[in-house]
Amino acid sequence: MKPLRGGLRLEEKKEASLLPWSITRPSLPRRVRIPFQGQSLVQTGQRVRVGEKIAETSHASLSGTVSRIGRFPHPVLVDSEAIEILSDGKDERLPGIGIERNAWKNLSREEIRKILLESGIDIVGADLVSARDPQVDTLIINACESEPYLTSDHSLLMSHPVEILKGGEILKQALGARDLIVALEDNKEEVAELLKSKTFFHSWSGAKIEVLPARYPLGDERILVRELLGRNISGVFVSTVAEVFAAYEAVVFRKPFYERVVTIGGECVVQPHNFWIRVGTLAEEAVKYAKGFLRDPEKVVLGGPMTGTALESLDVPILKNVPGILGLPRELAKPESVEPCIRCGECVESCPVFLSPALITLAAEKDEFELARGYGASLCIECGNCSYVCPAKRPMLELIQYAQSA
Amino acid sequence: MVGALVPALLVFFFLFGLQALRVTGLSLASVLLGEWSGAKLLGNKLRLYDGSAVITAFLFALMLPVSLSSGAVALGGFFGIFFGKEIFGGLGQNPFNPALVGRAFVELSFPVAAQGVSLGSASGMSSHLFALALFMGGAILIGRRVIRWEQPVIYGFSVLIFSWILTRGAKTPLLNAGILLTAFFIITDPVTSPLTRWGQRGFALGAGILAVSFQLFTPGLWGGVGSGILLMNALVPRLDEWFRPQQVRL
Repeated sequence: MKPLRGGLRLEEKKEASLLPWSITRPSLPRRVRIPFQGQSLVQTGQRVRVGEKIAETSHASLSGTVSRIGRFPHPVLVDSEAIEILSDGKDERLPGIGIERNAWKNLSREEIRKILLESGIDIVGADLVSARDPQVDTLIINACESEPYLTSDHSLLMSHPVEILKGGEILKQALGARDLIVALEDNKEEVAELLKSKTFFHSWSGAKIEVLPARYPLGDERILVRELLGRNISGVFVSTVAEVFAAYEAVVFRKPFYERVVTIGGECVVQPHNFWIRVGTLAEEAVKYAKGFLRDPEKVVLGGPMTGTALESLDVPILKNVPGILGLPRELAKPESVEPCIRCGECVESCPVFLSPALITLAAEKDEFELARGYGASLCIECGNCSYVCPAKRPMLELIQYAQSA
Repeated sequence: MVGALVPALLVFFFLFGLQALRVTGLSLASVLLGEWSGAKLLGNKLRLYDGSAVITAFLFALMLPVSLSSGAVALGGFFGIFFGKEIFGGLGQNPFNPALVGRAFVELSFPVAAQGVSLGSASGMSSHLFALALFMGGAILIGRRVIRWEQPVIYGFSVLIFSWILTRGAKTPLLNAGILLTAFFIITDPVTSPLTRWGQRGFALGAGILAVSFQLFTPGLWGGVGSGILLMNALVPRLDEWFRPQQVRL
């Protein structure tokens, strides 16, 4: 398959956290803070068990006492309403979680959707409803993981290949889709081989394993669908590996989404690795699982280095959609002085959606929003390629977002 | 990259001696003064350290006959950078190549003196030596990935083929030092050339055709080469428009 247009070959930096590729289950955090929307279903002082529903789409990830419900720092928003639970150290689960129910093939689409929603897999569950129009014919499991440092999907696939394939089958059934594709980048050959051998030995005809040349931002779902299927994303459902695994655990074991695999990495961390993290674990506690920082990071990023959020403080919880926490060193993350645009055209060459970022940002700098939109500001997929390649270190992504905001 | 011009400058000093040093020194001084004036008088940000002014100064010097009076050199250097770059807002904003603007000023204001032997009109051993130095500079730029190889190659070939066609094989001025200087250092200036890859290719092609046409049919700036470039500079917004990539809605 041809490499992606404008795709960047980024330094992967994935080896450190994959030595070994197993996922470590660390000791329990002392407390968790789980942001929620709507009404809280518990009160201060109440005792909760793991998996207990505490809000509309949130479940307790520790057993213990609800110590406080109020506004707490949030990684992306300034702060948000959250429920804080102090661990009692017992890790007691709700009864019923963990009993295997293998008759999921007999479940109807509605029933699967209900289980997913009840389990806090709101991303998949809510989308499944709207995915009815238009009819979804293809489900893609996005195992590309294009961003550097992140290896949580890689390690999860190596540890639980069959579960993820089954999770794909479950989602495919729920969507009424015809095809199931697992998409991987070519830096994950061992994963592809493992999946292929599993589909072979289980005589699985349903799943296709596709390996694509590793280029950023292949992991962006719209780009992935274009490269894999040559079409628009309409009618295609793209799911992350974490969501698929959570869907499997929800339907087969009735286990709500209260923990996920997170890569704690970056050059500043003592021992980069993948860990099972309970939802709501504070970033500062999670970093300790990797034995802390061996030197002061310039930036701590939640997510990947290209699209993640730089944290102001480590006193924020890790949420369901966070694949990594990275401590980036000064030489990679230091703020650089900005030069004017010299019209070199590197940004145009690197744009996967064929925009002219130079023209958009030059217009944005002069507040010419009509012009910026004319150059395609609203079509930007916010991959950050232009920012990465700009020799003048202009804040390309921020300028395009500024143009979009007006 | 200033370093890539060093071989050519060394040949310049070697062949023309103290006169060459004089011209280069004056060019440097007047260009830096022009850039400084741009900051003081027009409010542009002072960025003397970024080397772009220095490159302009060296290119300008290399385009001049060493017999040119000091006044002419100084005025030309100042004019080129001030009216060719600073009044447009400084780095990244100028449509025309400032070295060529300076050369244009010299040719218009001192027409007789400008006819002297310069890089563009050097012949024989001198021109071969310059050619070697310029190829070295070009190799450095391409090797360091500062410029794309297609532009000098397309420009060189378009000059070669077009002059061969028009003179029916009589003249093939490829090793003309002026053409080589243009191919590696003028065509490739990102500020005054198109944004897109295809635009840059069109630019190089057009500049080559124009250089030959001016040389053969009508008198032109700096042996015709300069006019070709300045015309293409003016066409850059059009080229950007024509060759803009098709936006994709996902």
